[in-house]
Amino acid sequence: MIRKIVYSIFLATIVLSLVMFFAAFPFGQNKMSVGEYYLNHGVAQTGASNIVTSVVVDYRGFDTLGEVSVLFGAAAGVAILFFVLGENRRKRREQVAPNFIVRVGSRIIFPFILLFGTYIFIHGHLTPGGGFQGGAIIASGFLLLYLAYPGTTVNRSRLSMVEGLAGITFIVLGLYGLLMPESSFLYNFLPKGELNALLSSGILPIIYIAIGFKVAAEFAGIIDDMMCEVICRGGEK
Amino acid sequence: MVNLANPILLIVIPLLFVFLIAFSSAFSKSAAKYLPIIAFGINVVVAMLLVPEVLKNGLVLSTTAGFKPPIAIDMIVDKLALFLVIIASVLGFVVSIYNVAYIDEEPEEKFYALFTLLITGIIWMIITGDLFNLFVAFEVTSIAAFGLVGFHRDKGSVEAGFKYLVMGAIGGSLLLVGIIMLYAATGTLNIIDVAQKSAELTFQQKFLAYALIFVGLGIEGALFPLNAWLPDAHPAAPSSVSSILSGIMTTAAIYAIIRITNIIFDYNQIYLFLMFFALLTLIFGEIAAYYQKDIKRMLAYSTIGQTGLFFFAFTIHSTNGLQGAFLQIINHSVSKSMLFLVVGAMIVQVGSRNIEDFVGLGRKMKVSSFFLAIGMFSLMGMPPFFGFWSKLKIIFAALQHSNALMIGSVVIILLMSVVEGAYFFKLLQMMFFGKAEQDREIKEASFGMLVPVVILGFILLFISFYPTPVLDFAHQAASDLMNKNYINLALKLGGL
Repeated sequence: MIRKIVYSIFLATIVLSLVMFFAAFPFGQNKMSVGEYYLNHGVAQTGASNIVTSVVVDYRGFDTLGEVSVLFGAAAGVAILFFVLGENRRKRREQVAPNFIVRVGSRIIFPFILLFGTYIFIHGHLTPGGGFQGGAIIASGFLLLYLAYPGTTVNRSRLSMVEGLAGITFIVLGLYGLLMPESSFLYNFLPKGELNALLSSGILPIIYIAIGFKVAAEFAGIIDDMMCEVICRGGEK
Repeated sequence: MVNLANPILLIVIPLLFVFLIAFSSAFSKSAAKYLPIIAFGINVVVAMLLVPEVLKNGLVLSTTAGFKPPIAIDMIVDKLALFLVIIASVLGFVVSIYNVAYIDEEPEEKFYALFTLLITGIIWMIITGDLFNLFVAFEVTSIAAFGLVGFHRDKGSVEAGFKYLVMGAIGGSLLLVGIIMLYAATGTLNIIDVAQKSAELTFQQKFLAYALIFVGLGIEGALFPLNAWLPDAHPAAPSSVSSILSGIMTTAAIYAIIRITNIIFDYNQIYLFLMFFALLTLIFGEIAAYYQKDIKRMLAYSTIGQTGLFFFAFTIHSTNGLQGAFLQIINHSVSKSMLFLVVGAMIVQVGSRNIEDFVGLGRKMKVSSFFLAIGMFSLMGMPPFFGFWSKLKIIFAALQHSNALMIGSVVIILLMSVVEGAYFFKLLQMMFFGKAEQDREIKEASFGMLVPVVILGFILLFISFYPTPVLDFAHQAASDLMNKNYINLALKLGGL
């Protein structure tokens, strides 16, 4: 009974404050101050025809560095929690082999998945998509391989090399901006080029390629850890 | 030449080292051990280079992406932020040294990467000048902390990590919704710009946004009804991680609450409301700490109590109160981190976290026990130590408003100091004068673990006997925050 009363008081407070928030909200008025600036100046200032990319990688590129670190932290956390010692990692439990169609089909489709993912992150500044999406697509290709061939392993030290190198690329590109006269982190110091050309908008495509590699390596690592938790023999728990 | 006194380097350099750790783990196992020490060594240098700049101009502002602040993200270091950045960098440096001797469990390189990321996220939360960036920093910090709490992978730590994960994720979501509401109402994310534009908004319009942000940050900051994760998570984590979580992470979240309250929601009534939470947190933390049998749990509850104390000092809403709060933050950060490090070293020797197993340890581990006693005395507020000055400031600040409420609060604070003294003295008496039933083979902690403890101990002793510069600096930081000087300075420097 008391619980119900407390709940209803909470609910009433939330509803009331939502009503108060929206009652005074100026509907129909233009509330975009920063957003409008991005829309009007984005293409000219960044040279990217995908306005989302110009905000994500250029104007608010520092947030993206944070998101990259969040993903890195999450992958490292999964690796800690699902940690299995090296020798046990190679011993696999007996598994029913997937059927013929899955095995052959995944072999045919795997290179195309890689190609598509690469296309998405290389064209991040021109078309919808970008490093995160492209990287996730590539990692889904690895997931398919794991499902079709339970014995699949990836070289973990090579993966962490790729993710480390991609992160270093991002930060070193940003630090280079401090050497420019503007002296600002992540300053776009390369020429903007022609609009809609593949090689345009300065450092944006380079950063997106680095993010693509990084996200792909991290997701592949997470998939490897989670698969191992299921199929590796003799986990220490 | 690059200007090294740039706040952005405080975040970017450790982050570069995080990725270097991941990269180097492909070749060498041992490089990862030492990279965090270098990273935070550089950070301490950069923070020291920022000191004269901040004292001269009152504030250092640095932009990203080559655009002016409301368009792009900026980093703001004023006196208060510098204060906390120095604490975080020094703690990061010292605890990284401790880690080299302390961590001996696989996967080491992941631990070091996450540990560096944790402190980077904390510094990020402190110096960011943008609300959404604050959320990102909050996520970086909490994601790193989740993994580190579960590092031992036994039943207790995985359970604690999961509990923390659920609460932290809810807190993050609430914080995000609150920030989105502020963005919807003002059309901008820069904190200074939001402060300008939200001045036109009414109390009712801002209330829900503020409440959501308060609850979101309050979960990380361990305010009373929201802190169920903390007494599990802090003891379950490796001691070096507990030292960072207790010493600076909850403080960083409270700092963010202080900043946002001061900028966006600066109403007199709200301080009364916050004071209620602060006192509840204080009472809950200290009384729960008294009943603990597990030494790390006791310290974790004492962290809750201390958080309540300095949050209370903030809610007095005067320059002296804020000064007291900042002094108490320093006292708590240095002493509590040191205590967790000492206790970690003792647990390695004793092999148990139970207080009863610590009987007679004062005669076996003389150096460690000495510093343990100093840290506890300072937390209690014993006269020659720094904690005395900070508690005195808080009580004086409260008594300046001579109404019944403040006098009642002072009585509560004094009573809780007695409770605090009771459980710390109980432990110390047991360690120094108690007799163990059987004689155990216990050696002094290893050199590598003793060095960081001694460094922190000397910092504490130094500021205890020579508190004037710290008191002055805290006073300046407090009056800057109280008069909102930093808003005008940031407007002038940032060209908003």
